[in-house]
Amino acid sequence: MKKKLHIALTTVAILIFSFNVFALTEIHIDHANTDINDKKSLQRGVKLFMNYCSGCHSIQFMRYNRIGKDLFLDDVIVAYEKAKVAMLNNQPLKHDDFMAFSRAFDSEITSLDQAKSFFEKSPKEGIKENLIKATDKVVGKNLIFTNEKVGSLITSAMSVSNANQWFGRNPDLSLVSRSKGVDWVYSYLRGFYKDDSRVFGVNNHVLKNASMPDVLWQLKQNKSSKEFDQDIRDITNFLDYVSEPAKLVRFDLGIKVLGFLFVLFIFAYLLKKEYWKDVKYGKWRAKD
Amino acid sequence: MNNNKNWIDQRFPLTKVWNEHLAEYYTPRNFNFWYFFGSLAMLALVMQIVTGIFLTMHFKPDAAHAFASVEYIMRDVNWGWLIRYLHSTGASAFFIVIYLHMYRGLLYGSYKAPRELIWILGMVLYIALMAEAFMGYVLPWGQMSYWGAQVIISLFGSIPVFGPDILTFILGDYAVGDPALNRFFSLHVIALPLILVILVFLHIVALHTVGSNNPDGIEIKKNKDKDGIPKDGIPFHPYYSVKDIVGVVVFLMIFSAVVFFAPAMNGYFLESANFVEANPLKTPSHIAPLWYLTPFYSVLRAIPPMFGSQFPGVVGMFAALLILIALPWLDRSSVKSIRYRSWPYKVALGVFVISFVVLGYLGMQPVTPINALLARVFTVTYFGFFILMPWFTSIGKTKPVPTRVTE
Repeated sequence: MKKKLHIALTTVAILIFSFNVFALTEIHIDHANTDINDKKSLQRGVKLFMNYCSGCHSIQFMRYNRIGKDLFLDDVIVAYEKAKVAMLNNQPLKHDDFMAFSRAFDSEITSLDQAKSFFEKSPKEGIKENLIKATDKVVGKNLIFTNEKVGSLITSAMSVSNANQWFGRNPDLSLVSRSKGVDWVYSYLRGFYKDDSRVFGVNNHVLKNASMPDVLWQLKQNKSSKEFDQDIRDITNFLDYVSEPAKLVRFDLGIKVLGFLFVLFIFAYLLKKEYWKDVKYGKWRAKD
Repeated sequence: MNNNKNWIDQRFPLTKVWNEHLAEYYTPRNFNFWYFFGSLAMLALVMQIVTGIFLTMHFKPDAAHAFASVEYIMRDVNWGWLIRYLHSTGASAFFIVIYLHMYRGLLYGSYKAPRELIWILGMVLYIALMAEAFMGYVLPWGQMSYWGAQVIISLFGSIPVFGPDILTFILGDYAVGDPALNRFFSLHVIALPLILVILVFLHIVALHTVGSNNPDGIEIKKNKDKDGIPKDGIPFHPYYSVKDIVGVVVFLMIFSAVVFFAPAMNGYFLESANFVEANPLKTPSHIAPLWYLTPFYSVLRAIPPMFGSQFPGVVGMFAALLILIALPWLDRSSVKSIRYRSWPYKVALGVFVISFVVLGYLGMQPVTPINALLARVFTVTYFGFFILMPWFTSIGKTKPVPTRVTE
């Protein structure tokens, strides 16, 4: 009986899958190979995005200071910790260390003694707050080209009505890597080729007759193809992060949660086993 | 302590309820793997309600703001992403648990007398849950939310004569829009959860009146000792409460793995097209409801339009759902459990499960000639299971049922 069932199931499965192979799209999509935990790549990605993409495209669900907190704060903290160790060991301080202290204590620090006295009177939370503020400042200086505040959502410099008039369409990119997929974004950005019949002189392999000009042509021209691919990978990686910032934390948290549940499982199982001994020997009836 | 207990007991039957439903509720001692899913369904319901309360605090049921407010929850609300993933994964998990719970009923004949009412209440629960899930899926206001709602709601428009008026009445407009979003929100967070909780209460009261079935399909109440306690029964608490805790932990492990490592489940739990805001001017090339509704969606598509109307398909879809209610009366077998049933039932159940799964798969795929043919074939076998049931449950030789439960 089971064998017959098995044969029937397999036949059905083969039927279904063989007919769906034809549904595969003709467009060639490359594997993006991004790594969300690669902070350096994300940092390069945001720089490239702000320089080449943000003029036209918004990422309207993302805030500038969130990027600072997620991608740059760690570096600022590490620099401070390094300077602190040097100070506590009375080693000579470098320029970077003074910069780190200036950020941490929110005032101009130029000497070891000054750093020490500030260190003694500053509470830990105050330092953390100052480092966040300093990160915001860095973001404000390097990533914001308009007069937006650091807590603002990242809208584009171009108005929607202008964009629609000039290009036909100008999508927001907050969720593009979730709706289209990371590989699609990567392939699309790499997919431009020369086509004189188009308004901007380029066409795209992935999205036929795309109305976007090849804004990265300078990079393509001036860099090796390997470096260029890495640039695109960085932008793609950044957009993957933008589409779901929680991706930076959920994997680590997931491992902790599963670890906890595994320990809980051992205790729950032992508890059940202990109670069910009674059932096995019919002892539960003797309770009164 | 005892004084307090007495004080309450004189005013509220606390000890009585505790004993009747937990400490002295005698449950068959031979429950197996399939009996975890009742308590897990309850866990899923509680989880949906708790996470839903927090989502409601931040969600905006307004066509202009709904999509952005979900992204706000995902980014700016502390732990918002986790609450949202718990809720979205919870919906799918709820249906997985419910389908396994219902399949348990089919395996061991739990719907047969004297448990017909438990089955009917369960079926009404299932239908209410589908409505709840459908309306919840509309709320994020993505492309699939919008167009899925458009497709499903337009089914009511195919009702002869009154269809178009009913459609306008449901939507509060001529198309899915802000009024529909608002009323779906209201139904999703108040009306349907309230109905679900009341039905679960009734489902359990009915169950505790007749007692649980078991993998042998034996009524343990027929064999009592001198104290009136079923010989094959054990108190639900502590024996099954500690056993269910193990089930809960294992369930949570699988559930967390999805929540933290694959919350979109490759498009099965969160469709990628739903990360684009609803746009009434742009129809997606392929519209499919979420996986738990697709078997019935397949039936809908499998039935061709007749007399220029889609209505037969709609009738077929609802028939596929409602026919499950008749199960207790279609089954003529003298035994309950699959362990002692005749072979025709086993084959029929196998065919039914395959039909259901294949229809579910086809409902997610675009219509091609071969897919349409397969959907028709499996729609016929799906209905065949019910229509032929009085026949195949009365033929073949059943095995003798023991008087006491087996290990």
